[in-house]
Formats: sequence, C-alpha cells, structure tokens
Amino acid sequence: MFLSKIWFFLVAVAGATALTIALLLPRPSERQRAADEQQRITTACDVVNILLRTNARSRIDLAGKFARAEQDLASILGPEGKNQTISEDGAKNGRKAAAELLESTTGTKPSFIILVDIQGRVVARVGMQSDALAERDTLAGYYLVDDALDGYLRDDLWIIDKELYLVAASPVIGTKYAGAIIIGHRMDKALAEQLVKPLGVDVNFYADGQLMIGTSTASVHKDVGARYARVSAAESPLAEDCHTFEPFRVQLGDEAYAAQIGRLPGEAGERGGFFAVYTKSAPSLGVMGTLDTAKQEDLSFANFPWITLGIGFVLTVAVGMLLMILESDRPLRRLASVAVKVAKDEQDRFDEEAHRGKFGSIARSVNIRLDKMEREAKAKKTDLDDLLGPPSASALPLAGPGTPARPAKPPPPSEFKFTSGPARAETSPPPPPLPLTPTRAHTPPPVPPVPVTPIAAAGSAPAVPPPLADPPDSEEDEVVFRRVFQEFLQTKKECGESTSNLTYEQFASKLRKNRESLRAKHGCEEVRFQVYVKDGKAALKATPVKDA
Amino acid sequence: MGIRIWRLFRRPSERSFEVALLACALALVCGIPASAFADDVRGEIQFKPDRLGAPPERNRGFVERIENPLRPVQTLNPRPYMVVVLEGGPVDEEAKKPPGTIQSYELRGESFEQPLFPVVVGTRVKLVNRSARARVLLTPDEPELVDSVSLNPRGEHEVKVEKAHQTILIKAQDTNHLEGRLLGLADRYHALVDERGRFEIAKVPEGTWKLRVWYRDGWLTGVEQSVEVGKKRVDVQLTITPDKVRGTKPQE
Repeated sequence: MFLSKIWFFLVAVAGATALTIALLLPRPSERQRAADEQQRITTACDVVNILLRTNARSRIDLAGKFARAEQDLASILGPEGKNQTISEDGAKNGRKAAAELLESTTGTKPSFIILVDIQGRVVARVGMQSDALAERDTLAGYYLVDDALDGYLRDDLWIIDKELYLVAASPVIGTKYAGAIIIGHRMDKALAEQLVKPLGVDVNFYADGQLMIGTSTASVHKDVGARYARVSAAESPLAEDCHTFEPFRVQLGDEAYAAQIGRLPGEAGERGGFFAVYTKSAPSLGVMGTLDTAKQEDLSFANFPWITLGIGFVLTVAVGMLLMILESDRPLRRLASVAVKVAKDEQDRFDEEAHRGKFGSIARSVNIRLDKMEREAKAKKTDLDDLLGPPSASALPLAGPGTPARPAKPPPPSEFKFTSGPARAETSPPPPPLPLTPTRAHTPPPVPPVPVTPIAAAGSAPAVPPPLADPPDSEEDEVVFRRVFQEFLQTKKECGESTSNLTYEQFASKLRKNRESLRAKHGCEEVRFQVYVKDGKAALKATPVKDA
Repeated sequence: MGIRIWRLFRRPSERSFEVALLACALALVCGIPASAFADDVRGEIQFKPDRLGAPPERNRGFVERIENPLRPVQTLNPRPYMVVVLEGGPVDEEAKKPPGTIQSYELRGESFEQPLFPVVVGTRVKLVNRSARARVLLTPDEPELVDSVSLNPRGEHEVKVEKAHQTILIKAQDTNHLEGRLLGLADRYHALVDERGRFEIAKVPEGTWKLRVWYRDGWLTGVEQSVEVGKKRVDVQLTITPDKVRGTKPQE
C-alpha cells in the first residue's frame, strides 16, 4: 500500500498544482492585459496630443494663408486702425472678404473668421452669432490677438459661451502691420471623434470644471476631474503629460475604464482645461470567466494537446490500478484464499510469512486467535499434557496403516505444545516410531503387571489420584497401554526421572482420553502412541492412524 | 468794455504782457500766492537701448508662436503701463482734492481702454462695460471693493479709490487675460505715458520736483529725475534701461 499511497499523493499534488495554476494563471494574464491597456491608453493620449498639435499647425497655416489672400485684408484693416470708430464700409468690406475666405476653404471650414484692426477692434466677423467677439469690441487683451498684432502666428484654445474653440491667428501686413485675422474651429463631437476614431478609444474635453465635449456618454467626469485636480499643478511640460502621469482606472457601476489625461494649453488650460482619453476595460475574468471566453477552436486537436492529456490520464489511472492490484487486491485475494482453506480445515493456520504488511498482521492476529482457541480447548487436558506431552495430531502427518510416520515439523512460535515439559520440539526431533501399532488384528504380547503407584505431574506436588471412571478397555488396548506404560516407565528411568507418582490407571486413563479426543477430531479409528526422549525427558506422542 | 479788452489782444507782442498783467490781477484778487504760478511739465521716456526685444510669451497654444516671414515682429512696449508722477514739490491743497465728477474706466471687449488708470485718492470711478457681452468683474486683492459684480453691456459699477500709491487689480471672472488697474495717487501731478513715451502734466507749481515712474504695480526703482519747474514750460527727457522695467517691484 505504500507505493499506492505515494502514487495517490503524487496524483493529489499534481491535481493541486494544476488547480493552483488554473486559479493563478488568469492573474498574470490580467496584469499583462492591464499593462497593455495602460500602454494603449498612454499611446492613445499621446496620439491625441500629436493630432491636436498637427491640427494647430494646420490652422496656423490656414490663418497665414488667409492673411496673405488676394482679398487684400490689409487694405481693409489698415484705414480702420486709424479711425476713432470702425466705419460701416470697413465692416461691410471686411465681412465680405471674410465670407469669401470661409467659402474658399477646402476641408474642415472654420467656425468663424474675425478681422481685427491694429488696435485690436473687431472690424468684421463671419460664422458666429454669439454676443462674444462682437464687431467693434476690442479683442486686444487676448494673448493670441496681442501676439498676432505684434507679428506672430500662433494658436490658442478659447472658451466662448461654454464651448471650446481651437483658434489660430495671423498678422495682416500691408506696408506695415494692419491688423490680424483670427479663425476658430469649434471642438464638436465630430472633431473629437475624428481625433480618436483610429485609436478605438473615447475622448472628453473639460474646462471650467465641466465637460465641454466628448465622444462618449460615459459619466466618468467626477473621477477624471478628481484626477486632474491632483496633477493640474505639475510643472512638467504639457506635451509630456501622457507619459508623466500614471494612467488610472475609473469604476462606473459594473464597468471599469482605463483613462489618461492631458492638460490643455492656452487660455482654456488656464481655466482648468484638459482632455481625458479612456477606454472600457475588459472585466476581470477569473477561472470561470476564462473558461467562459474559451472558444470551440481552443479545444480542437490543433490547439489543445488532447493526445498528451489522454495518455497522461490513462497512464495515471493504469499506474494507480496496477499499484492497487499489487498492493491490495492480490494480497487480499491470497489472504481470503488462505482464510477459506483455514475455514475448510485444509490449512491449520495462516502462513504469516506469505503475507506482508497489514495482511500479515491480519494473519498473525487470526493465528493468535486460533492458537488461543486451541489452548482453551487443550486446557481441559492439562493433566494428561502434564504427564504425557501433547497429542500433536495436527502437527504430525497422519500415518496410514503401514506408512511410517514422518518426523513432525517444528511448531511455529504460536503453536501449542503438547510436551509435558518446557522442552522445545525443534531442539530434538522425535525418534523413529516404535513398532507398537495396536491393531485389532494384532495380538499384543503379554505385558507384565505394573505396580500401582500414585501419579503426579512432573515437577508438581503429589496429588491424590481421582477415582477412575473410564470405561473398561479391551484386552488389546490393555496390552498396548501396558506396554506403552512400561516403555514410558523404562524411558523415564533411563532419563533419570522419578516414576514414583506414576500409576498405570492414571496413565491408561489419559491415553484413553487422548485417543478418544484424536478419534473425535480426526475421525480415525486407530491411534498410535510413541514414547520418545525429548530434551532429556521421557515424552509420549499420540498419532492418529487413518484407516486403510 | 468787452470790445476794448478784445482789442488788447490784437497783437501777440502786446498780448503776453496783457495776459501776464491780467493774471497778476486775478491772482491778487483770488488770493493765490505768487509762488503757485504754474506751467506745464512735458517730457518723453526713452529706452536705451531703444529696442526692448520681443514681447513676452504670456501663454502658448499647442505649438510655439511663429514670427511672420514678412516683417520683423513688434518689440515690447511697456509705456502704456507707465505713469509719470511728480513728488516733493509745493503741492497746493486744491491739487489733492479729487475731481468733482465721477471718472469712467471703460471695458472695451477683452481689455480696458487703458491698462493703468491713475486717479487722485478719493476719486470715484465707475467701471463701464462698453462691450457687447456681460462680464463678471472682481478685485481679487480687495474683494470688498468689487466682489463678482456682473456688468451687462453698458452697465456700470462705481468704486472709490481710497489708498495712494497702490493699484487695484480688476479682473474678469471667466477670462485670465482681461485685467485693468486703478492707481491711487496723492495729487493730480501725474500723467499717463502714451505709446511713444510722451507725457504732459499741466499747471505744475513752481519749485523743485522729483519725477518718478510707476509701472504696472509699483515704482520703477532707480528711475528718478529732479525737475525744476519755473515760469517756463519744462521739457524732461527720461532715459530708462530695459532691465529697470523688468525689475519693477510694488512699493512697500
């Protein structure tokens, strides 16, 4: 059973390892996926930043192109800059020129075009109906306008009526600086989607603590705003925000989002403007979730080692079965077989050496019980045993008529001894059987009378012999018994033993009881008695003789 | 009688004498001391070197601003942020009094009419919104003065300048670039500087004055000039090095 236990331990270890791996594998996978997700969102944030910069460059180019257009804006703006107020003609000409420029635009048209004179006053505007940036208002003060009037081309982000505008400006130059042209693109959903469409993410633009525009309706604004509050004061360049700030996760009900923010530049940035790029995170799967996502082709022979798995399974089961057969089933069958033999009296006891481990223990335990039972059965024959030694019928081969009795095998340690003394059978093999086989046809020689003396067990105190109550023996028995008695007396004398307490009546009575016992046990008709010397003492052995 | 007086001014040579005579008479009548006779102080602020370099980049969009390829860009011009002030002379009590009328400081779109608006202490100034959209104004340094006051187009809000030599910054709530400054001064002997650096202070009493320059939020340190005001108009040439402008500090 040892190897079976080892095997099942190994199988259990392998199973536990497999289960641990199954439980553990999704976690590194999820970590890797989260890292990939963060990398992806960082890249998306970076791309949005790059696209916004590229877009700004394009808008600056467009403003510069407008400033140098054939509409000759300088001729309109120049005179107005010298006037106390903007003239109607100047405003009208300016609107016309701006409208033509707007119409001539290919691609995404600006949301508005504004012409300002050298004082920064709005001469004309098209494409905007708001009260803000109205004609004749002064736009000088806007950093972008001031820079344009100073001769710079640049871009900015303005917030006008709670909407975000991507603005660019260029100076209008004639013989000298005449004014500036300002173009603005409203950041609407289409423009935002255009930015992130190839990236597969969403983008929201925030300023003044609220959402300006976004591509998704996912309400992540609170968490994103809290994140911005933590990083808004960072001194790193805005263009590096996507790499400087750690991407983060936003939980919205059951859905999680990976997000990254980047601060917006310009006037919108000074008003807390930023954009957030985010994408929905795949849910955390775990073992069952991973199994749920498995596809049919994952289990195909091409993708799954079914053969290896099957061979491994069969080998595992086969080794387990083999070990169970070798260590459990076969010994058990062998023990059961012996038990049946013992039950059928074909075998006296279990061969303890033939069984190992627990089965050997069982055999020993049963043997002990058998021995105990036999001792208890023999306890009633103590007197004769003390005097004559045990009738080792079960230990001796049954000798048929004319068959010489074979020497008895040495009894096992648990075997009950029939000898009268403490001598051990294995130390002195029994002598060859005496030619004293009483048979009914055999006429025994005359036996001289034996003086009757009290019988006492060797080494025991003298006892008063009980009255004989045995049935009278036949003459043949009487002859045999007397002869055996004489031989026993003679042998005891030869061995230097005392014979003073030994009487023929007690001796014959014991022989009769012993004979009857053997007859009852073995179903034999005749019992042969042998006198022999054992350990220097006289002993007597009774052997049942089967009928011919 | 009126015709006869008019005839006295027919010839310029006669006119100066007559005017002086008339002024003396009026001064005697009105009891004005002879030392209070005043004339204008004019001048010009020049920078040495003249070009102050590019104007600072106050903010940036997605890309850095680009100089246009057609003309050199304008240089920094701090003069509109300057006020020339005369101190240390014989200031009469009348000059310390604020004007009787309310002064207007107008908001015109995305900026005030002038970036710095100097007034005598005690002057009441009304902030007037001349733009087409409503604005919410505030004075972040002195919230009790203008506390998120909404000014609709053509709307007004009156404030009183109480402290001398201190600017009151006025900002709009929804923009960062829009700002104006009220400057309180002890008397009327001051003048704004125009874009070319010129200034003029009218009717300065005769005496020795110290000319100082206030720039944005404080005095230009190390920029002072003594001015002797006599009976003739005084022309002052004040030369400032650019590093003085950059090193301005508010007065303590």
